[in-house]
Amino acid sequence: MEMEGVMPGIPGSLLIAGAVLLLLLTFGVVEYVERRRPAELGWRYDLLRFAPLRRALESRLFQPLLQIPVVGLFFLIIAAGLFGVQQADRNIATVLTWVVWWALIVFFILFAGKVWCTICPWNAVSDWLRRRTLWRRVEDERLFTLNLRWPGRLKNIYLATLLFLVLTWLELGFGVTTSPAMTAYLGLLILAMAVVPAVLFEGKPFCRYACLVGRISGLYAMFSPLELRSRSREVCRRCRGKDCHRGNERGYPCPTFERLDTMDANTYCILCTECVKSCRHRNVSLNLRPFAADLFSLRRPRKDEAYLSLVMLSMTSFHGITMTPQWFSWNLKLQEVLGVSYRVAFTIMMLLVLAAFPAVYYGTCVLSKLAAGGGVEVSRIFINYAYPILPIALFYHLAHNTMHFFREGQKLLPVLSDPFGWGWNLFGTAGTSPEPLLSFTAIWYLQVFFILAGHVFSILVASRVARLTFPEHGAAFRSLLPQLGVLVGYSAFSLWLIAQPMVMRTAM
Amino acid sequence: MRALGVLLILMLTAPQVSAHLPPGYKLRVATQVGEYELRVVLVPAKPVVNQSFEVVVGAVNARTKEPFAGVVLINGTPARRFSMAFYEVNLSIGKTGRYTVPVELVDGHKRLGLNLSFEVVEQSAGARLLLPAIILLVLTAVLGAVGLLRGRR
Repeated sequence: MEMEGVMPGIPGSLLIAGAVLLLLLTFGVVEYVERRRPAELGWRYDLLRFAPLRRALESRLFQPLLQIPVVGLFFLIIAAGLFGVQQADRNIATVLTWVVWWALIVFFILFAGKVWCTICPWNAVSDWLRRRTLWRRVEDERLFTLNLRWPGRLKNIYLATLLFLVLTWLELGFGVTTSPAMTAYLGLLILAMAVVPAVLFEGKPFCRYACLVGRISGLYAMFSPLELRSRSREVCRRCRGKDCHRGNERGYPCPTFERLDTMDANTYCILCTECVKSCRHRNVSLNLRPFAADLFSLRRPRKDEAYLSLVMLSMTSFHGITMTPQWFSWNLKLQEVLGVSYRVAFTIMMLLVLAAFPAVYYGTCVLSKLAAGGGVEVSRIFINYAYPILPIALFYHLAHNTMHFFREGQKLLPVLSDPFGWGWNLFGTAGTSPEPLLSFTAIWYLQVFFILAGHVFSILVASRVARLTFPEHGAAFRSLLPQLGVLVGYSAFSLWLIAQPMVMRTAM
Repeated sequence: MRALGVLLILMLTAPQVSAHLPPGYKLRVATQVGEYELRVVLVPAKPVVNQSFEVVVGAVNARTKEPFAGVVLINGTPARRFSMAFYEVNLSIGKTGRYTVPVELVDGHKRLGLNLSFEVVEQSAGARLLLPAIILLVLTAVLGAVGLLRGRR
């Protein structure tokens, strides 16, 4: 029987078919990679060949024109959250933030990389305050900032990882996603976190080091088929001005301290297009490229990124777990055994999941080292093999959000007419109950497809990482075997999760 | 800075309850029936006529937070289930004051009932805006300090 507010999991037959395909694909892809040894995927197509697009990106009006409506929506969310009816499915704050934006942002990253950062309202407001203008290029000395140096110890993404954990804890432990007021508080808090560093420090250290949305999307964007890069490294090397990094009269310096001559991944680019404006050699391209290109080339793996990758996998899985019926009984058992409240039991379980995934992964890395016969430190294996996990996390995230968006996204229609839940009917859609955008069956097949696609990409990336980590082919292949086991385990767990009935976001 | 100041003053002084739409009405309720925890939300009925509300009762297991799976009667009327844990009926509650609504949870042969007593009060202006006001104050202070320090340089 269909129950409103609950998404039934994929049927048993589809689960079994998915599991069989998972194993077949694992063997098939490994066989393919080992026989064909595909070369690095290198094709690129520069979208800036289209003169109108180039001219648009070179214009200083480009970004503000996109940002202004989004900032308007952001303040509508704040107002509705603070003043509107405090019920999740009747207030635009919760519906637009958690059902539409939070669900769709992963799809945006999949196809367009860091494009969210281009229109991000937190970034926009902090830029406008710093520059005290919407679009003009203000001289660096006149910027409203103390231009302090960001502390060296914080030049990593651990702060963003911590904020992501705090958000997950607030979201699941305190029900931020079901409270319009708390959604507004969170929006304002992140705004303050973006503005304060912007007026204290040089550049945009919040975007580079601390923004949980930016850093998560940064790692996911390594998968995206869109990149902003230099056209020719040689031109960059000969360039004396390094205007992309230092800025000039046409464009600001790169806010995340990137340089086009060294930038080789999407991770820290926020697609503000300042370098397109400032580059005197017109040496900037906005390329279409194969999916996962940054993961296949993996130039500079980092420890902080590896940890965030693991945290992302464990927390997206944990998010799914908390929506299953089993969660309730596990939580109850823990409450009874330890004599603690629901929230304490929840926190303990979150910490357990947070520890379990990296622990299993670390054990696998030790096995990889043993299988390969040494030669490479476990810490190096731990860092490098964390990147193949990203496609699994990304595609599980997509599968999960497919359920949210396509079953709940239609709830945006009534709240557009009545954003505060005050009984308005601006566009004649208030009080309507549109059908979900997709049927259960369509969503189930999409979910299984996403998980299998993520698995295939993770194996392809893992075999590439194996060859980058171990120069000798035999050692690379042996090190890969334990990793394949754990990747199959993660993907099988993802399949099991989507087979569970889940409570929707606007249900409570 | 001036705009921020004006915004701050507006936020702190803005009345929470408008003439015909009372979003700032707050419901105080803290009750348990058997092992179930009831949460109440007031939603203005559509269309808003004489400030009538829908009374929405959320029923979850007090320990496990599992949604109640049976039938809920509010004021003697079987409530419409619109999501997993929430049930609603339309009641005319025109003004602030104390109300008593009988609520029964029926699950097979098990029947739990209580009179859900709650008070509808006008929410004070500061309550929901306290945190935003603090955030805005901190921001204003930081921006002011940055302005002063830049002036000295």
